[in-house]
Amino acid sequence: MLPLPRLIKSCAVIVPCLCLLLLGGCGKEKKVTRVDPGVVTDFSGRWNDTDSKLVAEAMMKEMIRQPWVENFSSQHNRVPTVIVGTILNKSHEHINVVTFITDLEREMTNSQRVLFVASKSDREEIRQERQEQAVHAREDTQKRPGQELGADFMMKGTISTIVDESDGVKGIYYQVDLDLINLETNVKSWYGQKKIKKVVERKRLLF
Amino acid sequence: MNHFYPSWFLCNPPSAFLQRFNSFSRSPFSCRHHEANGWSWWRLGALSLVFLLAGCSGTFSHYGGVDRSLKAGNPDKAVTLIQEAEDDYGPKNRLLYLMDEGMALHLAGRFDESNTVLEEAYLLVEELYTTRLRDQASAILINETQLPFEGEPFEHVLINVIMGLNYALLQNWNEALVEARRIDHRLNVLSDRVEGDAYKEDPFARYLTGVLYEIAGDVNNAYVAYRKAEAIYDEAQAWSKVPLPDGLKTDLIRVAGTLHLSEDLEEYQAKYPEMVAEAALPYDADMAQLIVVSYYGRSPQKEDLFIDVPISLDALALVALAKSVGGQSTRSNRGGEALIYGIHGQIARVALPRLVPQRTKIAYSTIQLTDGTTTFDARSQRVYDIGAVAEKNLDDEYASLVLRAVARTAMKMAAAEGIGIGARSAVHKNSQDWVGLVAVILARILVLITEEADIRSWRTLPGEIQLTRLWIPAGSYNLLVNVLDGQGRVIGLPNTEQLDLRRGEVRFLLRQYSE
Repeated sequence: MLPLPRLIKSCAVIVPCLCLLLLGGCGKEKKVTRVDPGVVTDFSGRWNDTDSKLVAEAMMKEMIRQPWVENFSSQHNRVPTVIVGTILNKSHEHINVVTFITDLEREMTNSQRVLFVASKSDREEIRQERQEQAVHAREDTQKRPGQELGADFMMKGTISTIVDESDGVKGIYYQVDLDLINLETNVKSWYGQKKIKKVVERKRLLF
Repeated sequence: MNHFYPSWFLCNPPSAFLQRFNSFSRSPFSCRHHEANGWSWWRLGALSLVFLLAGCSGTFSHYGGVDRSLKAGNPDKAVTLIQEAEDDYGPKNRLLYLMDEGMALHLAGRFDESNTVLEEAYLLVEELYTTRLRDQASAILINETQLPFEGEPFEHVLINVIMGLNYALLQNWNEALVEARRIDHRLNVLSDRVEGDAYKEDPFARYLTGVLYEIAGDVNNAYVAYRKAEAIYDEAQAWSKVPLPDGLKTDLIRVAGTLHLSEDLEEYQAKYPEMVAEAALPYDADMAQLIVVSYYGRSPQKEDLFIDVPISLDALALVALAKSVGGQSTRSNRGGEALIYGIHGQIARVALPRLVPQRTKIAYSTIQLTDGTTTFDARSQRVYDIGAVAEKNLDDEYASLVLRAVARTAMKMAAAEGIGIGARSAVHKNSQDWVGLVAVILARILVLITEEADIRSWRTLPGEIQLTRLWIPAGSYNLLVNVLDGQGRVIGLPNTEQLDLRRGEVRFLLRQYSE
């Protein structure tokens, strides 16, 4: 055991060192920087806008490259019409699936290889508008009912995760599965899968 | 920070102290050569003193109003009080603030808002994995309240439990399942990290995940969760103080049957014969399901347990005298004791947290549903004793808390002596004796005053959770809920509500009684 004067002297060195450590933590804590929306930002390791955009882009590109588009077009002399159904979140995060669906719809529409029709909720609004036009709009500008384009395929899918974690290191494995189902025959015409793996490391101690 | 300084010290500082301090302020690094040794002591001591002065934690005085509001059945008022006290929590207690606010919003039926707040809490728990050296240094120098509030492991699990219940109350099963997966992951990580018999599994959290999986149609995962919950209820009964709920036994028999696991079904029927008839009731899609989640009482509060350690016989006599006059040490009377002990100089103080249970007289509730012709009766079952789980979590870390508290006290007491020596050598020979004495007494008093336990905890939680789960035909019902004490006597007025249940609907209801 240390004699008291030595203990006191030791503490007299240790205590101010600890005080200096306290001072070391002072500084500006918040900074705002404007960045381009295209810039990849990974702060937390969670599903983010970049993941949503990249996955939608890659999967839609792959989907329209597959032979089902040509097969349908040659058989029916028109491009296939697709509707996006339920994309189920089976992950460990509260993912905003609506933004992912919007990304899918955008990629599909811009490809010009398939026609994309409005979803159920959008259709309700449009039908309401048509009903109102029938009553209130000039006759030559009214849109007729019964002219909607029925979808040939419905896209459904899931976003799943497998999470593994130990001692501040977390591995998150995202798997996005999309199916394209023929609405007439229930045949799955295309199946796409995209995987993302992220490793998030957290330090136990910071200065 | 000035409000922490004793007023008499600010008004009447010893002149030598003031003179030296002014000189130090003007030119801290240009002391005369012959005073170099004294000045180094002086500077070190003064620097230490400044940080010791910052040691007293906030009092969170709003909790009294929050408790009263919850008892009066006015959780909205509790939300307002917590939100008004946001600044009092400060950045170090951000997690505590979010947990308190999220729970109060949950009790107020503002489930979406509660989820927004608790999601922030969930993310903050992950961030708090990283501790900062400066916070650790503060904790060693002053007390544990200098550390950011990280919460206990069971509180982390409860964040996801409450969020899961919020989504269930909103009938948003897909998002409720996200919480079920998070609970599963958190408990798995905890099991990997924790050794021995420390808290690493949570029976109710596992049971809730099973219920959520089953409602969402994922019967496989529901069965796995029910089996885990069964095992944990059995293993943890010594500390969880909750026996395996009958509802879970029924769920096991029913789901084993649904999955056509004939061996398991036979095993559970043999194991729980009293539940076979219950499990044979119709559970088809035409039925509606009602799950009533009841919260009783308040979670236990943490208080300081001050342990005064005399290191001589006359110090022992002084401690005995102080206790006989002032009674048990509390934060309100510690000032006087610190003054006496500081002058004496041979009494050290260690502060540790202890849990004070908030007893409830409610034992269970009865639920009656009537549609005019048929009546369905059910009784709630205890599924979670938060007080017992909090006790277990505190027990798990007590050895480490004691070690840290003793080390901190030893360091602070030695630093106080150092300050005395430093002050003595920094002044003129004629004043050495009294300046040294005053400085060391002052430092000791500050050391004693700043010693306090970390008594922060999630105080808006209930004391225990009970569940009632029943399947009934779809229709309009009059719901009648009575709460009863241990002798079966009804407490207060019955709670009534009109319920319209659709075919296949699953409805969660929340009832909170803070009696």
